Amino acid sequence: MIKLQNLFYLFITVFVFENTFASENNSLIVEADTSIEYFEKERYYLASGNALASKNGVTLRADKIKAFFDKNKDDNQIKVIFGLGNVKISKNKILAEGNHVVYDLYNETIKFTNGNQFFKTEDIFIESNKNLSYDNKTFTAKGKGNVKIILKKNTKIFADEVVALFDRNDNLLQEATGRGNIEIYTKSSKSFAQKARYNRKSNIIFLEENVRIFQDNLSIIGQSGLTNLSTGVSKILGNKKKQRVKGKFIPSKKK
Amino acid sequence: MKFSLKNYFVLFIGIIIILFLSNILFSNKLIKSQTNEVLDEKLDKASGIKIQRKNSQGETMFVEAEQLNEDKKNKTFKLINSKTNIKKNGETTTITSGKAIISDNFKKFNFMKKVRIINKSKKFMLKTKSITGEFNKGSMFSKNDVYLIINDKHIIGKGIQMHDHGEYIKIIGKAKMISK
Repeated sequence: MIKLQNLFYLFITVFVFENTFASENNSLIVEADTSIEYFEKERYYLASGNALASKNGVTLRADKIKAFFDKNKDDNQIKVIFGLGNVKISKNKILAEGNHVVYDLYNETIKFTNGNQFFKTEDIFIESNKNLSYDNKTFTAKGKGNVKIILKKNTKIFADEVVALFDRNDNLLQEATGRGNIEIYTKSSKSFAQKARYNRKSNIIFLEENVRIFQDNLSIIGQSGLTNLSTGVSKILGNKKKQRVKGKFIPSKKK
Repeated sequence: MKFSLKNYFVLFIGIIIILFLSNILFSNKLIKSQTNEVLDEKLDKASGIKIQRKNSQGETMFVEAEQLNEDKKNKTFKLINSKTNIKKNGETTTITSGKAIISDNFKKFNFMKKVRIINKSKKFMLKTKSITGEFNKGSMFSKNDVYLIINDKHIIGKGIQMHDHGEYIKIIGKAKMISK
């Protein structure tokens, strides 16, 4: 049993430790192997050659980094950082990679554009070919354009758009919603829909609109359904309009 | 002697406090003291020789030095412990160095030994071993280690190229910038 005194010591230790390194963390540090250039009129710095920028525990690496001042000429704080070429961003167990990123230091948002990019934590991998963003204040990731998600047990999800919410403490996926051309592949089933909602507690993906499930030589069609990621089983749900659920058995092919 | 959890805790807290204090003292104060030191430096070493020049671009150059050797043949001035003030558009840039060679009718310079260039209006300071350049163009070049302050940005690097009176600055080689 943990004594109250020990808990107090632990609390004080964590508090002091956090404050000790807080000031260093708050500074923006930019490093480069080749050069750092300053453009006074254009109001930006350009770091070239294995460039690195770090602030508040977020580390950005790229071939080149452009650090822009605020538009207000009296304010010399760097507000926005562009990462150009082979961009890698990491914070704790979160890693993101792409070709072009805009990191807004003031709003704490990271947005990847141009080409393929991915974002991964311990339990999720999100890839997109249009844009991918992460908001460090709301712990939310958004992906657009042929989004591919890989979850544990090799569950694969495809969608046109995805919004994923992460836990602020352990960075694990809490909730996610997908829109447009949803495809879910588990070991035992594949499902199609237009909308999908995932919840970590239930570990179930709820499907809506034109739902089609293919499982064990059976295809079922309905307006809503679900895929249980714990069991891998998918099923069609009844709805309030009492629309009919259609099922079709597909004979297995003879070898 | 047996250490209890309390003893370990006290020791740990002691280390953390030392780290905390050193972090404050050696990061913030070092930067602040260097900034203050260079921006408010009295620069009163140079005395004895005083030269004042005004060029067609409206720049006034005021040079003070402990010693001056003029090479009339090559039209160069060799200065010891010099302080050069350049006034342009209401801004003053001060350059101090242990040695300086000014040539080509006060157009070109080569500052050596503890070179410091300060422009308070731009909150600019540069420290290096030696630097060459041209006054008229506002250009400078050095392949020595540099320590630069621009506003609240502190930059270190392995050399510098500067053009147009600081409108473009390139820190060459492995470089690091800290912005508070």
